[in-house]
Amino acid sequence: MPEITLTQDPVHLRHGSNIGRPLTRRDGLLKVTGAARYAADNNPKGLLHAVVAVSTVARGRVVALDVEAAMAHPGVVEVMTPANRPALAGDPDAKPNPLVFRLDLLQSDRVRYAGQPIALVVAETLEAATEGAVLLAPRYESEPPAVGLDDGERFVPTAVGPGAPAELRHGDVEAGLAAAAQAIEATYETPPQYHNPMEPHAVVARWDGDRLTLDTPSQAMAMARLRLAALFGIPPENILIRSPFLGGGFGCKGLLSGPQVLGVMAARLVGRPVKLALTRAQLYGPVGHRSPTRQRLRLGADGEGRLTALEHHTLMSSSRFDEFFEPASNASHALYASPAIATLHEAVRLDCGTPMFMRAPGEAPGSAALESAVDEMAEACGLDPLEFRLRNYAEVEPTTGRPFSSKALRECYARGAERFGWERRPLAPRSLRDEHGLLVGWGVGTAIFPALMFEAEARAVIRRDGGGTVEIGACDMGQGAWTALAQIAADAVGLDGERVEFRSGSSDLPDGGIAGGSAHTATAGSAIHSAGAAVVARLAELAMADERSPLFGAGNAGVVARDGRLHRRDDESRSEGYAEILERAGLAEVEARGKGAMDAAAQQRYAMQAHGAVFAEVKVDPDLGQVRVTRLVGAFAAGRIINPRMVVSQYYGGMIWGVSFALHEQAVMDRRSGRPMNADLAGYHIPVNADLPALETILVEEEDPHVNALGIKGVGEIGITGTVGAIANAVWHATGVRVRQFPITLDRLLG
Amino acid sequence: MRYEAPETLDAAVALLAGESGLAKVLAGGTDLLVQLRSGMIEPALVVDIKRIAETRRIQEESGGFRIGAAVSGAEMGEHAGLKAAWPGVVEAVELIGSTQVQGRATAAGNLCNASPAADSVPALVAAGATARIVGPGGSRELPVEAVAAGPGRTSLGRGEIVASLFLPARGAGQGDAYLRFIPRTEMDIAVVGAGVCLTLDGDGRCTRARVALGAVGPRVILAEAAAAALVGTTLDEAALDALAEAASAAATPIDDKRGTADFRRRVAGVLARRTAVIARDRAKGAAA
Amino acid sequence: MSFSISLSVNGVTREVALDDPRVTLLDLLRERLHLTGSKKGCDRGQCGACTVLLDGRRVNACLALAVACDGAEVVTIEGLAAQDPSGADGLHPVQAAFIAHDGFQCGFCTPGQIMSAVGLIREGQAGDDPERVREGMSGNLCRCGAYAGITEAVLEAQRVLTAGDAGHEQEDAA
Repeated sequence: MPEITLTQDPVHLRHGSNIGRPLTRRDGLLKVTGAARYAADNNPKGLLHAVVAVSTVARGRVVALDVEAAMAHPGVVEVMTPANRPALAGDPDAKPNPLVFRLDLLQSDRVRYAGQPIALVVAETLEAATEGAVLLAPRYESEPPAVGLDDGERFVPTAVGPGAPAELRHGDVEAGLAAAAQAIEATYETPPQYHNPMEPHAVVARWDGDRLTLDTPSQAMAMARLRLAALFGIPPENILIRSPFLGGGFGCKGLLSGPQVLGVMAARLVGRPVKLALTRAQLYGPVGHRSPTRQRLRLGADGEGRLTALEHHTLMSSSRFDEFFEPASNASHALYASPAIATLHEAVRLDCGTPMFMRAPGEAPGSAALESAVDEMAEACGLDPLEFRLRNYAEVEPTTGRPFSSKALRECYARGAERFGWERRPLAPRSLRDEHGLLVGWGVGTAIFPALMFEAEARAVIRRDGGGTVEIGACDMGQGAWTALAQIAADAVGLDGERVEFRSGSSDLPDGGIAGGSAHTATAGSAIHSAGAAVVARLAELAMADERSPLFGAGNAGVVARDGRLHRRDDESRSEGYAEILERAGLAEVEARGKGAMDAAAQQRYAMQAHGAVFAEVKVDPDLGQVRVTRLVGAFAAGRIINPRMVVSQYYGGMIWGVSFALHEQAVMDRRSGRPMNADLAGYHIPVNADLPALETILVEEEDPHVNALGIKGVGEIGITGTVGAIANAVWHATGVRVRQFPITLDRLLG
Repeated sequence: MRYEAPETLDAAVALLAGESGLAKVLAGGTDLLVQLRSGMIEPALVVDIKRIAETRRIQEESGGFRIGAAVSGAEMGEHAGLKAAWPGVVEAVELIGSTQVQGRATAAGNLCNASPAADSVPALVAAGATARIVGPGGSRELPVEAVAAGPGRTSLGRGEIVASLFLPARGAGQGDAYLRFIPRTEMDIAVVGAGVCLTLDGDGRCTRARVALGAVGPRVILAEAAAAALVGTTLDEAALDALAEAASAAATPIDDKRGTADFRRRVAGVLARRTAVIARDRAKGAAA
Repeated sequence: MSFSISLSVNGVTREVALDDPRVTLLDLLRERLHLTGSKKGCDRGQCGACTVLLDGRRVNACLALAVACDGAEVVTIEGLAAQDPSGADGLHPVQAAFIAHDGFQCGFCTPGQIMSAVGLIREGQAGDDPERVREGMSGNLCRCGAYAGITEAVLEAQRVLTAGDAGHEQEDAA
């Protein structure tokens, strides 16, 4: 457990509720001094270094590995191959449920994608292990790989994303299109993308008999523990995973990846602690990616600019051996009102690593295409794109008719537009220039992301010294769990933040669930909230049953916990401190557990979504086609905001991912080898600081009584949605050229 | 792999000449380390020249500047005299990677790495720079454009190293500039680079010009027809159009993931034109 | 072939025996000296997470051979606060500004960002121009997208540090 020290920034001094305060990060001091310990920073005694050798072919067999040469290199301790890997209790290719993904754990000589681990070299030093891996000089029998969306046979998957239907039809799309005054059809393409967290996956593993300790980044420690327990045939309680800090996750650290397990296997094989850190290049294969998509949209509108039909068809890929289907079309479910909506998916199988959840899975590419198509429809109708969106505002969820649990999108549009100066936008494209002769364009996109919840548990303790402890195995991958969840914890037990010890980031704590789906704060926060309520209730029982307490007999009126005291709800002057209550009861502490999960009944009744509106300004060099985003304004409504400072950072981060999606990132696949040709950070472009414009976010207030007790929706992913479309639409407005292939590159723009 | 850090050029040459396996020179190391770490090369010997005093200096010589092979880009940028005389060259060097990379990377290393997209090379070629090659047979001066033989290959013989680069005295009415085009704002490899150095007479008429293009052929192209389009003109619109056309015609790019050949040809023209305008303005400043 | 080198790391002289000339300064710091604050994000000089000050200049530690650093002075994130603890909580002003402006999320690129910012401010080229700061910080990638906070933090630290310098100069003059 890292020791988290509160930084003495004045914003920590609070007056009132912890929730809602813009506290600085509680883990800030550790992070700015280099003391925050990430997985690869652990160097236990007797540590050996492992380097993984990966396949350079995408499909075939490994026919030779020069294990002898590697073993002969000074410092090399062991070479792990399919011939000598430790036996596993569980089959890495078993698929008991859709959230268990097949792993490559040296089960055979078969190669199913480029970058697949084929051997592991363990040595006394990193340099010796690296050299050993080179000396393996693998030889292959290879077959031509299927690399692009046209290389495979299409089929309709049984489910897309985490178990959503592949097809949804509401109303009659063909009739809607036939009746439309204007109709458009357009096809958009998005490339394969790789998560590229700054921290490559790493694991430091050590065995002590059949007990396993590992330091490894995980967005879901309890699930990782179950997977390891099944693979190695040991009870989950024998496994301790420590993941106090993740150097970014974005989905690729959600479920345990093959290389992380290989590190554990190597430690078992050599009987010493082993550190395995992937190289940057090795992140392009076994840890997931976002599938390429080809999305065809057909829209029709009546003479008033109201949609009569919306069809969104996505073609995407999964690997040849496992299933994850990017649910891009589902971005069209809940955003625009239309009497007829159809969302359809088809897939092909490619010789690549299995795609995986990547920040805003489905929504990111789906929104890019939808928001572009909506703009094309607005143009066909001769309407301002914002006006068109308002005319098609969904008052209820269009495909189900359910009301929204809350929806402040209108305010997002209004406040974003005002801040941006949208009313001055000329309708015609290519009509704005700046003082240097650059073309200027303005675009808008609507942001939407479902308010999800998974399951989590927390434990809360109130001690006789008047302090408290709250424990939950939550994950901080940068979103601010150490801070935001601690704020919820402090309010949950009615204490000042400094009086609550908040413990997290380790698998021996109650299951904090998965940090994904923008649902972690809502889920883990709800668990903490209910654990806090339960422990306060126990304390209240003690007091209310005790004649000597000023709270005796409060009964139905009940009590409220604040600043380390319980107050009678009907007479706040009657109160008693936690310490006195426990003192008199002769107890050192009281504890309780609580759970967080979605309210199934509310989920049935309401559509739950966070919303936003993003406005973008771009400038385009008319001779070179060079595009710069110069301004981005995002207004978002996502229920209750726990820590505005951290939420703004999440929105910025999402919007920057949007800039990256729109203009920069793509894996360029070599059709012959099936390898990405740009598997490094020089070739796979993500924005650098100078690529970023002046960013602005507006937090639009929204109260949601239905999503959960705390009223929290998620903020981690919504920023990408809307932004990609806003930029693409701004590029069109600047140039009059509609590029339907992402990223929008110069040559595509100049034709 | 053997590592040596000799203190004289002679010792460095002797080490390199005496090695039967692959021998590499380490100056800044920003390219060599990447090649080493990615397993692209496995040299038997690495000779670090940073401990050789004469490779670490910038010296004035015959009115120009001799820049040691281990002088970093950052050190060039901090040299006021060099920056004033050859702003285009210094700006080009400062475009090599990030500031962190410039703290190590050298212009000589950029030249010897022989990447067609090396940022400093078109600027050096336009400036008429020469390289001092030291080897077992003694020392010789070579125009920088003759150092690269093709992508990743140099014309240097066994045991030869680039000891220094020489930038001649800046003449009256002379100005140089370098521009490159990259999709990202910073930290990227040139899709096209253009270096222009020209001399104006008292009437603003161009008497001499050199135009070099990077990343649009297997090596940096000295575009003589493009230069000829400027000589005798006042760099009016017609002359600049002719320059752009000649530069596009001189470019022989390939399609790759960073841009199509057509796009690069077009950009070469646009960029040469914009670079020439900056060089012209600098030359006017120099003439004044 | 083994080498013995001596270098100063955060003011402490370290004598190191190297069994392999390919050990980089970054791996020396992380794996042998166990100074793990400097991070390995790419090992190719493309991300900046390993930025340290080498003889006062910001460099990527992954692009320097350890053996070539014989006699050098290295400052890493672990030793930064000791150089100038005038910021909040005894931090270096750049570190304090990163916390105040939320100049990070996951924190993995942060040591490199901070060391790079210290180098940038010392170079004295960026001044108070946000554009120049963004340019000068572009060798440090941040996938979380904390660039806005990073730029604000660098600008604030630059103000604090230059004001401090001016103060010292006045004292010296007096």
